[in-house]
Amino acid sequence: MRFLGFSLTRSLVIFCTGREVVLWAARRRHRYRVVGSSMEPGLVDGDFVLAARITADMELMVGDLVVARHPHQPDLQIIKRVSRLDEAMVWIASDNPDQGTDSRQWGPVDNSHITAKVTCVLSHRTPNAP
Amino acid sequence: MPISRCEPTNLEIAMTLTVRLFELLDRNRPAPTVSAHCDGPCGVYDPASARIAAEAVLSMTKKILDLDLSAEGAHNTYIRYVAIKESEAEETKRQLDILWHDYFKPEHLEAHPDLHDTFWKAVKQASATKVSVSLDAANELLAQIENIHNIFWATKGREVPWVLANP
Repeated sequence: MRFLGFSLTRSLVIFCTGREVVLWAARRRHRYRVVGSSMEPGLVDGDFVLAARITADMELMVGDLVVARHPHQPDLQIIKRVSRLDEAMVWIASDNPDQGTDSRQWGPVDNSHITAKVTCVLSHRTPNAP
Repeated sequence: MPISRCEPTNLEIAMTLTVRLFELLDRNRPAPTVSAHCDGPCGVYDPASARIAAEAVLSMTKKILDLDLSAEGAHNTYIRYVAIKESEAEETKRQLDILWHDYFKPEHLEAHPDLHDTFWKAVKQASATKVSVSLDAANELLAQIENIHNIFWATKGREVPWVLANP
């Protein structure tokens, strides 16, 4: 499935629309900068994402990109994709598994470790770029 | 036939401008970073960190056992030595935990089926050096970390000698 030339097969996050930027300006979205390569090709080092802070009524789905606290380093924020949901636990995965660690090593993380859900990506790569 | 250059779409222009804006903002108000990597941006793992902390545990154990408690100021020294042994044993556990959870992958477990048990016992041994002042306990901890050192470098296909800072 393609939207504006960008494949949504692997990612449920689309490039940012004006609406998302307006929401960011209204402080309803939070800006993060991506460091590292474990989420390539969808996210590359230097990309920005906008994310909505997790609320009680927000439902996570498999495929969602999320910002989470590292289970063993509370001060480190990581960005991963939800690969499985299991009651109060979430399995998170790297899109580029050779370059990252995730629930394959840690096991599932508690829901409380998930801090935000990514709503869009801001990148120098445009929707029609390869 | 000349090659025509594709003109950017309005969306592409808007995206580029927004990214530029965010990059400008980042100079004065950097966005929090989210790591799409392992333990941190560097991704460097080495059992040497655990070895160094364990060597400090052994060193402090020796110093505690050698301390003359009747000497002036000895109790102050004793408390400091114990505190350092405690923190270095805890650091050993932390470094082992990082290797165990963040470096080793399922394929390593296939090659070393006793990997979890190896780490579990090493972490418990680090705790044992905290509750006792025992050269045997401290030496056993180093021996177990040497085993982990050999497993770690085997996963990288390299032979790295086990060298102690204080042989």
